This record gives sequence, structure tokens and C-alpha cells, in this order.
Amino acid sequence: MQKNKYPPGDLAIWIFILAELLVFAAFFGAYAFTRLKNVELFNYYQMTLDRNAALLNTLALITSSYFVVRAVADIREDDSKGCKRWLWAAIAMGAFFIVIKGGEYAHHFSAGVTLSSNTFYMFYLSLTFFHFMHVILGMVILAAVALKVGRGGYSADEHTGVETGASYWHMVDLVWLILFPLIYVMR
Amino acid sequence: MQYSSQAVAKPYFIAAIGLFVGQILFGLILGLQYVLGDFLFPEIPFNVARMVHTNLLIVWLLFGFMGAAYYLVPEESERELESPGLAIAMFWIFLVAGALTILGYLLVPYAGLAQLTGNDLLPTMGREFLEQPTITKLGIVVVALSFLYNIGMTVLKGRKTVVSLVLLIGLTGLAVFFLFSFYNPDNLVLDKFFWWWVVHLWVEGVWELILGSILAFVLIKTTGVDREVIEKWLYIIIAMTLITGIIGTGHHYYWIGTPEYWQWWGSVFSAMEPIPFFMMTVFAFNMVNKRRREHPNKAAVLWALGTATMAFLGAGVWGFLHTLAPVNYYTHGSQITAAHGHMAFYGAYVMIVLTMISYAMPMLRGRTAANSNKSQVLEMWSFWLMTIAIVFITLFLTAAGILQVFLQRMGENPLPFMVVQEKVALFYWLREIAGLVFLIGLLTYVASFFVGNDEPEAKTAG
Amino acid sequence: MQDIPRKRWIRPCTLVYLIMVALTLVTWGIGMTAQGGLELSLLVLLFALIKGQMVGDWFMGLHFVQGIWRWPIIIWLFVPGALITIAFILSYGG
Repeated sequence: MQKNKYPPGDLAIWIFILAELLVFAAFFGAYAFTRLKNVELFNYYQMTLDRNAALLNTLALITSSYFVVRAVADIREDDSKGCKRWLWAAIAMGAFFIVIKGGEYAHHFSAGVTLSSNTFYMFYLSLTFFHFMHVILGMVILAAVALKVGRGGYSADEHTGVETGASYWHMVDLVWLILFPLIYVMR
Repeated sequence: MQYSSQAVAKPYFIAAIGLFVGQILFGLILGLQYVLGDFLFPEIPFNVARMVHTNLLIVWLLFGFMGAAYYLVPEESERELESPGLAIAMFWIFLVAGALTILGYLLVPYAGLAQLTGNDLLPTMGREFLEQPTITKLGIVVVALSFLYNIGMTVLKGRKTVVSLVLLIGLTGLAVFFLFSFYNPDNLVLDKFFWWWVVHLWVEGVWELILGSILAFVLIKTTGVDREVIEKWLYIIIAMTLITGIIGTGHHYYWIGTPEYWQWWGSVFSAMEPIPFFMMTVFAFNMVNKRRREHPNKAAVLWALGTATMAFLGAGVWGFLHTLAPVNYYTHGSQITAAHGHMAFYGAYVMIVLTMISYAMPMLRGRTAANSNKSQVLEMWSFWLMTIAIVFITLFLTAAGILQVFLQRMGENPLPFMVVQEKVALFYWLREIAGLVFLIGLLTYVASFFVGNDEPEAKTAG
Repeated sequence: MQDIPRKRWIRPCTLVYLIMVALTLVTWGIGMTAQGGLELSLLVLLFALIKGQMVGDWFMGLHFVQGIWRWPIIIWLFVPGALITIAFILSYGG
């Protein structure tokens, strides 16, 4: 079968995605090696995190990513309506993530946790919050794409924009897939 | 030149070059004072020379940015400037205020200047780079607001392009963050914390937007590549700049008394700051390779490519060298900082202003697109002289810095500051020689405006 | 870019999605035991890397790409994967 030379979407978003992934990789490495010096502290405070919430959020993001895949498949067949529906469903899953994560933050903040509480919380809050901002940005991008799809702005012939937004959203998912076991489970 | 009001850029550019010459002369005095401590003492003490050297840099770059904006915005917006008269009035106000401030530095002891200008009423003086008397700072705000009004109205009433909007965001940020220079809390930690909001968020934040948009403009004009392609790159570059640059402020917060997480945030985010600069390099070379036309102004294209390369090296690579907290623990405030400062300011901001001047000045002086061959050849000579000189200045300062860190801050028996300064004196001498070459390059640059004016315009080859 | 026939893309994606849900549930289950240990931690990490690889290959569609753009996600997964593995082995005194 004929293979493509470039990934789906605008090449510029891919450069952006790689740059973002690099930032997260640096943070992951920093987390793992800082934990090395504070194993007991990390293991202790990890237990204060809500793994059920993390499960729901992981399921939300992979489901959302899957919905985006369906959206791209639909627009490739010129089905704007289907594409739009899948995109909004994906955005709804993103909103679900925001609510759950917001609940977690509210819980920690009401317990008086701050960035300066200890090194574990510093990493937990920094990493998840930085990712949190990416979920919000990803939702904004998807919403912009969905609105344009709704206006009939994309077609089977021209749908680079949909693929661009989709690729970014998958990146947000991808980062969380590492974040979840690293911060919530591995000990 | 498509719009007559673009002509207001000309005095701004001329003033910028004039002040640039002044900056370099003071740089040479300063460089000599590193090795001959009492040179020109007591007439021009070291601290005054340093203040003049850095303040002149900022002021002439601001002149350059304003000139660039006045030239660029009418063309992008496809309409005349809102008020050319206001632009000219502000030029004179800014120039006179700037000149008076510099004279104040040179003729009155700094404490006396503070008293003379009523610093007690609203104390803002005495902080590095923000030494200007409060009244000068107020003047800068007035000039910046009038300038923003002028540019903003032109952009909003005319065609809106990504280039002009990014420029407008950058210029607005420049004005807004300058307001923090009026905030001068007694708490030294807070003072430093917000001081960086002016200094860092200017040069590693909003100025990069200005740089990006000017570079994009010149590349659109000289390469003929589709605006869409260039604008897309500009989007990605500024997004990356803001993501890394804003939180990257943290790399100044390691040792000033802020919470520990700044060491992580600062290290990780500022370590990514080279990325947008690297993208800029890839972008510029890509666009020039994909060019659809041969622009007769070869000098301008050379400056544009030079900006992209030297900004990446100076701001990106030399910044990265000492940005991580564990490294910075040793290198903080050493000659490594000075090395980075020189190449970053030259590579990013000096060169982008010279790129714009190189592109616009021929038209402002009545040419259709470019200077004569003779003038361009001389200009390109000046490009190489200044660029190579700054590379050597940077290398010598880096060597001095490494030695300084090693002798003064590491090892079993760290030596006192002044002893180390004498040990690295050789590198200061070499830096001074490179500085002289830079001056020769700059004079060559100035000369390029005066030669070949009666010769025909350069034509595109082939 | 050339589009991939729907069947050749959506069906694997659906399968990938189900596998990812399953791996997530197992990861969560391991997490709920709060047991820890090097082997379990690295197993969970491996699950995450497999999931990441699936997102890159199928959801992002890099499976259908040839040349250098086939590799960035794989390489990216390898870097934090290796760092985390080394750090955890060291934390268990390895």
C-alpha cells in the first residue's frame, strides 16, 4: 500500500507537538530522578491522590481521542455532520476531564496543599496543571475546528484543519497516558 | 514606498544608528576600564559608562522598533498612518528626553540626578537598566502610549494581517510591562521579582514577538513566498515563545528568595526557550530557499538570515549554557552572563533592527527597491565585520567566564574576585580588540549610506 | 496527504481503543492495591508505553507514514520511558 511522507495535519503543528512533548519529557525525567532522592516522601504522598479520579480521567481522554479519530474518518468521507458530532462528543469528554481534575484540585487546595508543601506536591501540581492547561487549549482548538466543520468549512478534499486539531488532541492524550501511571500508580 | 506616511520611519532609523554609535563608543570605554581601572576616572566612572552603554542600547532599539513599526504598519494595513504629525512630535520628545537623560548621567552624580529630578516623590531610580529618572520614565510612557495609539488605530482601521497583529501585541506588551518599572516595593525580593517583569518579559517575551513579526514582514517582501505559509510559521513561533518565555522568567528567580519550585519551573521552561529561536532559523532559511523572486536588496536578505542564525546562537545556545539551576548556581552573574548578553542582544535585536533599516532605508531615500551595488557590498562587509567581532567578543567573554567560575567559585581554594579579574585580564584585552573591530564594522555600516548614491540601483542577477 | 481507506483505519483503531481501556483498568487495579514494587511499576510503565505507541501509530496515524515522521513518537516514548526505568531501578537499589 502507498504510504504517506508526512503525518496528518499541518506540519507546523507537528513541530509544535514535538516541542511540547520535549517539555513534558524533561518534566517526567525530572520527576523520576527527584523521586529517587525522596522515595519515602513520594510514596507517602502519592497515597493522598485519588486513583479513581485518575482512572475516570484516563478513560475520558482515550475515549475522547477515539472520538476524534472517528471525526477525522467522517470528514474524509465528506460527512460533515458525523464529523461535527464526534468532535463535540470529544470536547464533552474533555470537559468531563476538566471537571474531575478540578474536583481533585479543589480537594487538595482545601487541604492546604500548595506548590511549596513538599517536592511531591510541587511535581504533582506542576505536571498535572501544565497538562490541564493543554487540555483546555486542545478543547479550544477542537471547538474552533468543530465550528468550522459546522459551517461546512471542510470537505473530503480539504480537511487539513481537522487533522491538525486531531493530532494536537492526541498529543494531549499521549502525555496523560504516561502521567497517569507515573504519578498515580508507580511506587 | 507605497504610503507617504511611511516616511516618518526615517528620522527614527537615523537616530537609532546615531545612538548605536554612541553605545559602541561607551562600550569601548567600558571594555578598557575592565583592564585599566582608572581610565577616564573621575570624568566617566565605570558605573556611569555601563549605565550609558546599556541605556543607549535600549533607547536606540526602541527607536528602531518604532521606526520599523511606522514603516511596516501602513504597508500591512494598506492605509496611511493615523497621524504622521504625532509620530514626528513623539520622535523629538523621545530624542530630547533621551539625550537629556544621558547628559544627566554624564554631568551630574547619580545621587544628585535623583535629587534634581524629584526621585523622592515616586522612587523608581537606582535599579539596573531602569536607572532613568522617574520623569524620563513618565516621558517614555507618554511616547509609548501615543505610539501605540498611532499604530493601533492604523492597524484596527485597516487590513488586519497576522504580521501587524503580532507586532501590535508585542508593542502593547512592551508598554504594559514597562509599567512595572514604577513598582518599587521596599521588599528586595518583591522588587527583584517584578523588576524581571520588565527586563525578562521584554527581551525573552514581547520583544520576540516584535522580532518575529518584523522578520516575517521582511521575508514576505524579499522572498515572495505566500503570506499564508509565513504567517503559519509566525503563529507557531510566537506560541512557543510565549509558552517557554513567560514561565521561563523563573530562571531569574533561583537565588533571590522565591519558593523552590521556581528552580524547576525556571529550569525546564527556560531550557526550551531556544526552540522558538531554532524554529526561526529553520523558518528564515526555508523561506529564502523557497523564494519565488530574487530581491535586488541582497544586504537585507543577508541581515534577515543573520538575525535568525545569531539570535539562535546568542539567545538560544548561549542562554541555554547557563540556564539550568544547578549550572547557574556556579555561573550566576559571571562573565558568562555578559557573553550571553552581548550575543543575544546583537543577534536578536540589533540585527532585526538593522534588517529592517536595510530593507526600508533605500525606499525611504527614494530608491525603488535597493541601494547600488557598491553601497550593498560595503553594507555586507559591515555585516561580516560586526558579526564576526561579536562572535569573538562572546567567545572571549565565555572563556573569561569559565575561568572566573573555575577560579572564584569552585575548587578547594577559591580566589577573591579582584584576584581572578587580574588573572582573566588577557581575555578582556582580546575582547577590547574585538570591540575595536566591531567599531570599524559599525563605521563601515554608516559609510555604506554615503557611498554609491549616484550609481544605479542593483538589479537582480539573471 | 493520501487518505487511508476507512476500514483499514477505523477497525484497528476500535480494537486499539478497547485494548487501551483494558490496560488502563489493569493499571488502575494495580494502583488500587497500593502495592508497589519494581516489577509492578515497570509493568505499569510498559503498559503506558504500549498505549502511547498505539496512540501514535493508530490514532495519530503514523502507521501509514514512511520516512522520518514515522519515528518521533516512538523515540519520544523511549526517552522518558528509559529515564523513568533507570530512576526506578536505582530507587530499588539496583
